[in-house]
Amino acid sequence: MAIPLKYNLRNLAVRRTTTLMTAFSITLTVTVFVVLMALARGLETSLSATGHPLNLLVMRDGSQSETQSSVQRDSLQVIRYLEGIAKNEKGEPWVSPELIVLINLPRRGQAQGSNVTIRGLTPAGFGLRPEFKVVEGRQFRSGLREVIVSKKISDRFQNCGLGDKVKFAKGYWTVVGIFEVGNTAYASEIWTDPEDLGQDFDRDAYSSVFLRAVDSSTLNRLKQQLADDRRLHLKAQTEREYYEKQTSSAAPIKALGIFIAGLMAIGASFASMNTMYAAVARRTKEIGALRVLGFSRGSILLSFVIESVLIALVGGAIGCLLALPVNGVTTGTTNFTTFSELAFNFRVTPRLLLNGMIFAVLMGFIGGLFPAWRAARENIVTALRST
Amino acid sequence: MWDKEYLKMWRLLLKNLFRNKRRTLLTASSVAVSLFLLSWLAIVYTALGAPLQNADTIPIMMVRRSAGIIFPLPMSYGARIRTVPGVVACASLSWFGGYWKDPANQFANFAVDAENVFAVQFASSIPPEQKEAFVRDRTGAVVGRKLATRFGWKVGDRITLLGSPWGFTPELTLRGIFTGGPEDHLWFHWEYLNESIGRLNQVGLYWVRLDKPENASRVGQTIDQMFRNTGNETKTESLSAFLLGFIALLGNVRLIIAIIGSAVTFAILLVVANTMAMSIRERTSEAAVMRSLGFRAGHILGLFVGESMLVTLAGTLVGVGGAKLLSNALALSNITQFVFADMRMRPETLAFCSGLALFIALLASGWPAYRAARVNIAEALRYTG
Repeated sequence: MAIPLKYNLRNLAVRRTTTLMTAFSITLTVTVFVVLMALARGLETSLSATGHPLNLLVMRDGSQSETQSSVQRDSLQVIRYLEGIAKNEKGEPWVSPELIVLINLPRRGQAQGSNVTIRGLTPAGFGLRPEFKVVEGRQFRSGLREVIVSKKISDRFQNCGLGDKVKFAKGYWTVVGIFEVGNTAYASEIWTDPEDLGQDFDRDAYSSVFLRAVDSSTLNRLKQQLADDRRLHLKAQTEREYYEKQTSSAAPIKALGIFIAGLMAIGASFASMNTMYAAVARRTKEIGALRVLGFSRGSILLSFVIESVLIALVGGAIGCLLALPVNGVTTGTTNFTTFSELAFNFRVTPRLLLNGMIFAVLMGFIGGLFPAWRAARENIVTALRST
Repeated sequence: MWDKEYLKMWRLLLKNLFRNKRRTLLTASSVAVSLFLLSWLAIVYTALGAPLQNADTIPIMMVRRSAGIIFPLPMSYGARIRTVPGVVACASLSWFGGYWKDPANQFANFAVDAENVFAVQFASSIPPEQKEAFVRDRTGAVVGRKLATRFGWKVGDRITLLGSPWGFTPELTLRGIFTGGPEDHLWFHWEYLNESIGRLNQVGLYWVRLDKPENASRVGQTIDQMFRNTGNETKTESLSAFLLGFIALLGNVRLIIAIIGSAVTFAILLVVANTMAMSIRERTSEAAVMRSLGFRAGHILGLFVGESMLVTLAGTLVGVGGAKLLSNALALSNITQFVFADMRMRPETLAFCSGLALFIALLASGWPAYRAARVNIAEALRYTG
């Protein structure tokens, strides 16, 4: 027969200071765990959520990133007339040649700068990113040195607000619009006209070519066709594959999160062990009485473990609540594959909160097990005689 | 007289400490683990803020394009930089980014101005015949001691660098191994790279050796002034400023570390406070008995606060000491490099962590101890727990 849960709850209420202090050390551990994992998750999401499944990215064979790649203009003509490319609304092949350059811009409130991707692309390219929309101002016009800046870059970098003039290459460029592209890697870029950009950076070739396949079977055929054409030295991969490969940059953050939270968890379990040992010592007589009433050693053990887990659950729940506000907060780091700024949001997902709670329960369980074991082994007679 | 009393109190304090051995041990271990973590956070925090030891005394500067480290400079700049008074030597260096055999074998490899590189990197020493062999062989390479140990390379080995974004696969012969300076680098001839990629005559950066470190700001300004209003404006900065620029790319890492550090500190406070609250509550009536025997409130207060200090101190010794030992071991094995080149526990870090721990101990025990010391004796004697 199990000891009623009410017994544990009332005990916790009586020792509320100790209960809360123990719960709070678990809270801190869970908060740090959830926040660091939300950071890793946000970084991963911004990369893995990038890309329409039917979009192909064509780069020079052997390049790791668009920055290092180059595609000649005559190769573009070959690509344009490959079979299996979807047509856009004008009936032309849906192909977007794009030019990538990196520039160094100062972050807001910091002297040190970071590298930001500037992408030159045509309207065909906007259509290939379904989440794209201009939220403030207007679209850029070609030939006028106009740029549109993503919301995240605009918020985080100097001279990138609507109407500002940002200096790079051979002079000043006017910010005429602010755009959003969902939670994708493109949300950390500045976009402009490819011809304007090429002229300023003396670049004749494009960096990469994006295209939309008709369906998934033609997708693979297109890849094969490009790989087989020895003249081109090009390689095609889906846009998703390209960004998915970069998610490994979140691995160090995850490892760090587990290391830090792990060490904090050891500290917190010791604290809850202390609390539970004290609880057992104070209630030795009660334990004897419970045994006399017919509760088994097993139910005593269970009761104390449950009590410890209850403390941990309270702590874990507060920890998750404390971590919640971080959801959606924007931060940024350098994506070392492209060597440019990647701005992303912390993402606290339900799954992550569940992991946080499991983590808390684990701490409570470990902290409660040994004291509960001791309580269960108590000899009835000596327990009853104890003061 | 006072001394004797003092000694007695000490014995009482120690006795109390060992009254509940398990609790003392658990609390001290919890503090130890947390302080170990806190020390490491502090080590990384300081290393990211000041990546080089004695940064002001290193007479080496870096010249890069002001537009950003990703843009190249013309190789013709080298000759002009050498004419600046205060410049002793100048060598170009271009990041190559290859790996050896397996993409997991990433390391720092650069195409450099072979003739001048050792004049700039004066801290790197190499046997003269090895240096000469390297300079003579267009496809020759030299590596630092750390790197040679890591991959088991010997002079005469053939090294092929794969996977570079330059799209060129150099086949190199190891001509020498240097000690001191950037020991995790591989250097090969810039000419070899330049010829293979179609003579763009561009380099990544220039390393500049100064006659005196005090001349740094003057030389830096002169160089940058010289190339102002050209298509390739330069930015000349000290080695440590250069590294700080790199660290800035990582984003707000220091802020995140500081936030985690405060959470850890608060957690230690809770653990110690909880222990002290429990042990003081259990001894409420005992304290009252002592008071009625003639011990003053100050004695009681001192006993409890002292106990908290001792437990925390034990944990601190193990935790901070462990972190110190580990950081020493890591520094000896030379595995930290580049932006983490100077990952040691600096004296100020040590003092900070220990001071913080003792402050926590004081804070954690102060209030409950004060209450226990000031309690009404008659009431406390009736207290049954």
